[in-house]
Amino acid sequence: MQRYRVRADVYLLRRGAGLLVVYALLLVVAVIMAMPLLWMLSTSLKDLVQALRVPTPANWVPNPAFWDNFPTAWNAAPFAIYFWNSFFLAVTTTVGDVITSIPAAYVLAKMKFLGRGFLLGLLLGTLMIPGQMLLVPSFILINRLGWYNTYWALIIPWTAGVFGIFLLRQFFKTIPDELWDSARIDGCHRLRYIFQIAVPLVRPGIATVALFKFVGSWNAFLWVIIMTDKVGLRTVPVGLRFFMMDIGTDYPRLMAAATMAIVPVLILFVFAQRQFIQGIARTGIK
Amino acid sequence: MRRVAIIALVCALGVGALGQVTISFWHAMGGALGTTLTELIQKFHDENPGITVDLIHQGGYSALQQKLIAAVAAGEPPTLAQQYENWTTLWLDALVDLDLFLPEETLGSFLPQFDQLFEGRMVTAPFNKSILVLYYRPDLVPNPPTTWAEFETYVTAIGKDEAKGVYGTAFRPPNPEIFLTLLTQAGGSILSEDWSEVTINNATGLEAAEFAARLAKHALLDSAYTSDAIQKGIAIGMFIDTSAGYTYNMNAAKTAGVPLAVAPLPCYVNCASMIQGTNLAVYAPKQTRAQIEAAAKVIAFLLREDNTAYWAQKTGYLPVTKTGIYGEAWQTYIADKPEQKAMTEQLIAGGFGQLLHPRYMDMRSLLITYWELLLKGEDTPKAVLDALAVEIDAIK
Repeated sequence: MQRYRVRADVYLLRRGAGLLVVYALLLVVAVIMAMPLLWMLSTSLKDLVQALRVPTPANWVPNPAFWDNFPTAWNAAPFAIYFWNSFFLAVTTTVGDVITSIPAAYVLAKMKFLGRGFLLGLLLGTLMIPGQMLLVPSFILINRLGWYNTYWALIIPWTAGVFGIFLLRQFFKTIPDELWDSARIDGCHRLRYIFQIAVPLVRPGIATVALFKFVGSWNAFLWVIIMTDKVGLRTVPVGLRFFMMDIGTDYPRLMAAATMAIVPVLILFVFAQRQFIQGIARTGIK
Repeated sequence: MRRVAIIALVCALGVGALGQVTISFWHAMGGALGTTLTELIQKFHDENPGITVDLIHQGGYSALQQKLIAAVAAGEPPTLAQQYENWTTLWLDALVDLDLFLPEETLGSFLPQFDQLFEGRMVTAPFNKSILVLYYRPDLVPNPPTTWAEFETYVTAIGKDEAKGVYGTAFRPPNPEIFLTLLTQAGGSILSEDWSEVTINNATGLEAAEFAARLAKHALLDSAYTSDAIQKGIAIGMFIDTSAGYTYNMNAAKTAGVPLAVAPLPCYVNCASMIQGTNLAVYAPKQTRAQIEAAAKVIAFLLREDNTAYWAQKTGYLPVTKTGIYGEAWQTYIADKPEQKAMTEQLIAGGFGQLLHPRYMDMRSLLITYWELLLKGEDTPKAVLDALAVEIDAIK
C-alpha cells in the first residue's frame, strides 16, 4: 500500500513538474505574442521622440505619458463615422458570407453530382488570383452597376467567399452520412436536415468563418479606398492611414488610433474564443 | 412687395446654385500635411465661393496610384489629382493641357526645373517637392564637403567599424535616386537625349558607379530609413537624403543625442540633385469645362506666392515657383534657418526631375536591383552597369 502511495506521489510530482514546465513555456509564448500589443499601447502614450527610442525595458513605460494622443487621434479624422462604417460592413458581410457559405459548402460536401470536384477546384483556384489583379475590372464593374460610392459596393461582393465555403465543407464532411439516412427515414426533408441538424453540428466552423470574415472586413482598406470617395463611407483602416506620410509616420497617434481600432475585434474574440479555438483545432488552420 | 422680394431671393439662390461648381481632388497627404492642405483649400473656398473642392485623401501614394489606374481605365477619374511623373506617362491621354487653362502669371512663375513637358505637352504643375541634400554630423565632419573628392576623403577617414557602429556614410538600396544624382553630377544620363540609346554605362556612368562603389565600402547599407539607424545610436558621418525627411532625421539625432546639420550636396562636374515629390494634374474625362477651369484655379491658387511659401513652411517641402522661392515670405522664413536655406540653394542650383519616359517606372525597378548589387559589391561597377544597360535597352 505504502509502495503504491510513494509511486502515486512520484507520479503527481512528475506531473506537477511537467505541467510547470508547460505553463512556463506557454507563459513565455503568451508574453511574446502580447508584446506587439503592449508595445502599441505603450507607444500610444508617448511623444514622437520617446516612440523612436530603442526599445530597452526602461523605454517601455511612457515617461511622461501623453494621454491626449487618444483625443488628438480621434479628432484627426472622422473616426466616429469610420467606426460605424467598419462595424456595419463587418456585420453585414459576415452575416451574408455565413448565409451563402452554408448551403454552398453543404452541397459540395454531401451532394453527389457530375463536376462537383471540378467546381470545387475552380472555386479554390480563385484563391490563387491576387486581389490587386482584380481591382481594375472590379472597379469598372462596380461603376457600371452604379454602385460606386455606395454601401452596395462594399457589401455585396463580400457576401460570398471561397474561404468560408471551403472551411464549412470540411466541417460538413465530418458529419456521418448515416445521420441524413436516419433523418430521411423519419421523414425529414433536406433543408430541414441542413438547418436543424447539420448546421448546429458545425457551429465551431461557422464561428471561425464569421470571425475571420469579421476581422477581414474590419481591416479592409484597399477595396474601400478604391470603391468610395466619400468620407461617410470609409472605414477605420482608411483613418489609420492619415497618420502615415511619405516623409514619415506619426507613430504615437497611429498607435493610439490602432489601439482604439482593435477594441471591437478583441471584444468579439473574447465572446467567440471557445468556438473559434474549436474551429481552428478541427480544421487544422494556422 | 414681400412676394417679389422672396421670388428675387429664390432666383438669386437658384442662379447661385446653378453657378456652383464641384470638383474632386484626390491626394495622399496624411497627418500634418493633410491638415495644411485642408487649411489651404478652406482658404480657397473663402476666396472662391462658387467652387467646392471635395478634398479626398486616398490613404497613401500606393493606394492613390491604384485608384487612379482603376479610375482612368473605367473612365471615371477625379477632376484633380496628385501624381508622380512616372504615373503621368501612363495616362497622358486622359489629362488636360494646363497651359490652356492656367493664367500666364502662374505659368511664368514655375522654376525652370519644373517646366516639364510630356511628349511636348504641359499636363502637370509642381506641387509637393523635396530635394536630395547632405545631412552631416558636425562633430565628425567639421566642414561639409563641397566636392566628390572631399566627400570621399571624409568618408574614408571615418571608415567603417561595424562593432562600434561607426560608418562614413549610409545608402539605402531601395533609393536609386542617389545613384541618379551622382550620375547626373558626373554629366551622365540613363538614355541619350532622343532616348534612342542607353548611355548609363558609358564613361560618365562608370565614373559615378565607381565612386558609389568606393563609398559603399565605408557605408551602412540598410533598406530602412537612415533616421532609424541614427536613433539606434549608430554614428554616420554624412548621408544623402531628401529634404522632406528633415524633421525625422533631426528628431532621430535629438533622440540619439548627436548633432546633425544640412548642407548642399558635394558637386562634381555639376551640382545636380534629384527632385522628388508629386505634381498636380487635371483630368478631362467626364469633366465639364467649368470643372476643368475650377481645377486650374485651384492649381493657380496653390502656386500663388503666399500659398506655396506657406505650404513649404508647414510641411518641409520646398516652394516650387520663382515668386514663392524668391518672395518675401519664404526669404524671411529661411533668413535665420541655414538648413532650409541650404535646401533652397540646392533646389535652385541643381534640381532635376525624373526621366519623362513612359517606361521609367520599369527602369526604376531595374535601377533598384542593380543599385543594390553595386552597393554590395557583388560585381564590378562596369559589369553591373553593362548588365543594367542591357535590361534598360530591352524595355526603352
